[in-house]
Amino acid sequence: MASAKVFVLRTCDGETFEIDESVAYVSETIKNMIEDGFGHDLIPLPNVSSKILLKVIEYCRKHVSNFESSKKTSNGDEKDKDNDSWKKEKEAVPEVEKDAEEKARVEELKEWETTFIDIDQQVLFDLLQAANYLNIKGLLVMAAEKAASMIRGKTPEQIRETFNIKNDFTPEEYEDIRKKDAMNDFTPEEYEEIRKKIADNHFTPEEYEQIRKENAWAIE
Amino acid sequence: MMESSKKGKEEKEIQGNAVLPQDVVEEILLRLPVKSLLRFKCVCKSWCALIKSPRFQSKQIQSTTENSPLLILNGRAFDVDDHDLYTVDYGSSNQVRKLDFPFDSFAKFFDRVDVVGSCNGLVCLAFSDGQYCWDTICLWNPATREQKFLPTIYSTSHYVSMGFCFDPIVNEYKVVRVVYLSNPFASNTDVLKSDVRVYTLGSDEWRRIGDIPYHIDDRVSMAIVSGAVHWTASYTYPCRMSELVISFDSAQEMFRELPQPDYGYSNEKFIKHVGVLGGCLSIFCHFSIERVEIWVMKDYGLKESWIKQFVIGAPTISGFFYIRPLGLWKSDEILLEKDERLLVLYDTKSKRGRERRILGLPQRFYSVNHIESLISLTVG
Repeated sequence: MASAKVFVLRTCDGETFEIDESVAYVSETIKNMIEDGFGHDLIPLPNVSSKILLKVIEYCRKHVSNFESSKKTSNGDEKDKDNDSWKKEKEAVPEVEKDAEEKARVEELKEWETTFIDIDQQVLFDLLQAANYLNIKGLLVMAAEKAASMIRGKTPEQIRETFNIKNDFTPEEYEDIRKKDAMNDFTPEEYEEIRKKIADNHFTPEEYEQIRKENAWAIE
Repeated sequence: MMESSKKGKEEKEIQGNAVLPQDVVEEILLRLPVKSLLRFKCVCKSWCALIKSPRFQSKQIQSTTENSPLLILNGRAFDVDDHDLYTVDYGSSNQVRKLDFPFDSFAKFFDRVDVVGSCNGLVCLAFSDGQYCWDTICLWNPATREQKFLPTIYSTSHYVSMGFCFDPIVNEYKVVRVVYLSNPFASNTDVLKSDVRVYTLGSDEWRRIGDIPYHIDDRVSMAIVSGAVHWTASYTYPCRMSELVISFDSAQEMFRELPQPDYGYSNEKFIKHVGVLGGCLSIFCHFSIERVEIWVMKDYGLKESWIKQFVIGAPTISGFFYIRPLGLWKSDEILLEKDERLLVLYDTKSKRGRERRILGLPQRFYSVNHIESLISLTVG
């Protein structure tokens, strides 16, 4: 079986978790700490809560087991188990025959990832923070993709709420940006007004076409 | 930093700045469509600065090239003036999106519009009517809707070749336009007089850079590698043998001949076209309607690095007149344009092609590789 080395992580809320070396090494941060000699006692993770660490460990364990089974279905050379192997697993290695088993493994991984990342926004943001701090590229990418899909169509105000950001533009600056850089994006009020007008049939077909063309992204 | 949900709402408001660190925000923003990124410039000053920064825009190009490569379909109906441009993605969607032409009313004056090329999300369009040939040219970013007409030039020839490319060394976009002047007294062995001009985005003129001693075969080129545009070319006109593969290097503004592979085809006749696969210059050798052999130059400029990487034959080929490889998809599939009517994903392992069923495909079209980007046409 895999190496017997085990490490203990301690979260900010005082909980401890035991993980194998291979699982620990999925995190570049933890890997560096161990290599710097901090692995003998508890490895403290003051930035990560137990709830989130559980999720992170689930990811790391899946990553390791998926890597193991991908080695079996491919006859590729010994891949290093570092952070970049997540990318190699995802890409097909051109010289290797992609048989049914390999295809099934990739499918299963996709399904697992979809379920894994189906979490609410707060957990997602915490997971992003943790993946960033622990330097787990694959997890960061997966979470970033999910976050991007969640915020795509939102207005600037909704983004500010989601990310807890203050609007530091003066009203004049904001208008300027909106017209020039953001290519004339509507304010929520203007958008509502236009929507109403469309509903009440205030625009001629030409006017509507014109508005749609100039500001199509406001009317998604 | 404690888990945010443990804090009260008041504490969250006091915090003010973004909960997520900037590099995490960047990871998320890199995965958004340009439409959203333009709007999110309004979120706050740091997001605006980030989205406008050349560094981020460069990363966005890399990210979208890998994850969401697109095609622009240049519609070519047989009997109607066709100005329609559409986009479709490489792998997933089953529907085209019509591109909102920036100047519909203007375009009505022209018989047709051609896509000269697409570079980093900027598209070069050439308009022609019966009289002149491609003397109205514009650059356009479909995602940001910015457009710019180039200075008008007039040509008295119908034999024009163009290329649009990006010079990564000095960060400049250039359009090269080669006009061949017909000479009714020329014999088959004479080289036509040519007029070669270059336009650099940010300038306001076409600069004449001389002439070239060969005849470019294609009107446009999608083969842009290493900051250079590539075409096949012939020594003689009108009997064109496509003996050469030439490049226009955008940094040095010079034409040169590229070394070709030792084909070893002896007497077999084939038609040669150039393209790009996986970021490498490629030559497609069409042997009648039987097969296409694809040579790839793994190390740009190095003759020894040419390898015959793919051969596409029956059943994918048979029965169709012409196959045009467009690009690699997921490292072992090739997206093909078949007979200007269909898009096919060819699996290089199983050697089978499957037609992509897409709603709204124009009757006939010419595909151009494209991505969405934030690149602005305003320089400096």
